[in-house]
Amino acid sequence: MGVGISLVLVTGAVLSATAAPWRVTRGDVSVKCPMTIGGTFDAKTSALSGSLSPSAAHAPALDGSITVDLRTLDTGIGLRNEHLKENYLEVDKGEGYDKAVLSDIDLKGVHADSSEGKGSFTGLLTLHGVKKTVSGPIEVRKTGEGVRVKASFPVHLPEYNIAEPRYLGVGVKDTVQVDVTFITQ
Amino acid sequence: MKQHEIVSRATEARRHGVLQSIFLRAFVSPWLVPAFVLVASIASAEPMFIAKQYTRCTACHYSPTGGGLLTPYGRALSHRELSTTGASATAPAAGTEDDPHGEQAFLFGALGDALGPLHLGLEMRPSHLRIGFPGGHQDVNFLMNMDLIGAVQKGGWTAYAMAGREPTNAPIRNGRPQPEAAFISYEHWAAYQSDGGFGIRAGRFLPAYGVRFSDHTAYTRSYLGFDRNDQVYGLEVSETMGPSLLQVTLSPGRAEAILHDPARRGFSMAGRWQLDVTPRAAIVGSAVYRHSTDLDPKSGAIGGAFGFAPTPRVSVWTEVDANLQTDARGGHSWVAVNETAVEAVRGLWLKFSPQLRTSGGVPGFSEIRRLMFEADLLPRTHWNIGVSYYHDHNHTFETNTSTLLTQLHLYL
Repeated sequence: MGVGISLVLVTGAVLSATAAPWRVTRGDVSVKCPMTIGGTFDAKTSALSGSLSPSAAHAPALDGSITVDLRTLDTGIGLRNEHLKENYLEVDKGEGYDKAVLSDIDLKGVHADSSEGKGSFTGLLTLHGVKKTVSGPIEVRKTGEGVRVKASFPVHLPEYNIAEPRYLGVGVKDTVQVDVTFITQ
Repeated sequence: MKQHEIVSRATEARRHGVLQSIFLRAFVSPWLVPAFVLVASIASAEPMFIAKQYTRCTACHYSPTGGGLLTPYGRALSHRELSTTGASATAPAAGTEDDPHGEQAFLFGALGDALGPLHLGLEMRPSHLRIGFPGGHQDVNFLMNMDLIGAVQKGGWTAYAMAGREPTNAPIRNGRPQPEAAFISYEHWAAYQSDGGFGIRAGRFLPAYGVRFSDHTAYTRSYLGFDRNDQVYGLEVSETMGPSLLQVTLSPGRAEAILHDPARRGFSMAGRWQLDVTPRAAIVGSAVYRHSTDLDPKSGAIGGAFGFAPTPRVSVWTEVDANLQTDARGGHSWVAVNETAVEAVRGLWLKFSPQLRTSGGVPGFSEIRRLMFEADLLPRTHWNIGVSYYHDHNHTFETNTSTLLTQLHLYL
């Protein structure tokens, strides 16, 4: 889900200049989950996909979306992975539950015709069958591989009707932080 | 002053166990084995689990400073994620922390639900020890410990107690070791932890300091006063602030001194701060102050530690401390311990640990160095096997000893 957001932002910076569809070549999403007993763990995936293009309606906006395959999230512990996907994200519950999608992305402070800059973004995150607005900082930088985009945003789990993550006295707090980094060409 | 020195030397030898016995190699044959039995390892907290993104002891242990009874979550994790044979086992359902079954339960659930919210664990370690020293070696079989531990946890409150058997030659009464085994309760305390991060604990426990390596003979434990019998009676307050954890302990003295050796009773305080830099990296800063007693001068230590996991199967912890007052006669020394642990295959952890304690320039105190290798095989939650090899080198007197310790750890 974090990936989706980041991707959108990057896309905006690049696409405005080229007016051509833009695709994510690779990226990483890290969801930082603070635990109720202290400490955090990361849930990570590199399964990002999607494309974006400048919107004809209003210049800073991007059409298209970025999608994260939630089935590939890995916390480093099998039992934790199992609970994350089956009990909380409920990836088998129905169509779309196995994905997080970021769409309707808008950029602020990042020049659409530049491949470098810092600003913020807003977008619609679809997760667990619920669509909510998310926002956060974004940084775009040109590298030898293309344009690298870093973005982050918080996700408040109760807003997405995700059950309170608790297992045998240990749980995850209500708000997790999504960090996304991706490369576009 | 002379009495002070005599008693302090005795204490020094007792605390430093094998390493001081190296210094006293003329007496090594009759003294070395019992000394090592007293200080041999009792595995407890495992800092290597930072490799699994667990930076806090309380994920798996009731005690905020780690070690001792596993929580239901800790038992489930041990079964499903650590044991060589538990990967396909059915995990307990959420909300069943007070209704454990099978491998998750005390005595494999033989008592059914008779215990209610009370969680029990019976820990025993039949062990074999072989010590090689200049001129020979000695073998001994012994029961390292036998402890019954219980805990109840409800609504942020925890009551915790353990009762066990202190090995022969281990109990100290009025400064003298007793040949008989004795009853001991290493820890008993009550604690409250708020959802907001504030915690308070009172009773008998090991103060928070540095990294609690599972081997309590690690130099940063045995030489800084955090050995097996160094719990205090005291009050601990803690505060979790985002990625930081601050723990402060105030105490009128070591528990064993208060109970059995009043001449060594003295106020102490300790503080520990931990910052989780990432889920797989943490830094720790610690300080401890111990006021003088009738027999010991005031002392203290300050140190830092850094741990990280470069991969999900490797952890590296390094702790360095300045011991501002060697126990007996004053002076400053340095203590450093590194522990690198690798999960070679599921359920098999290999550890390597170089350790150092400088002499502090005080006559009679040796610079000592250790290389420790350990293999921990974890077939099941209720039993595992540990094999540790210690090579101890007294740099001041150029003497070596080697120690092989084999343990069957029963956690019923």
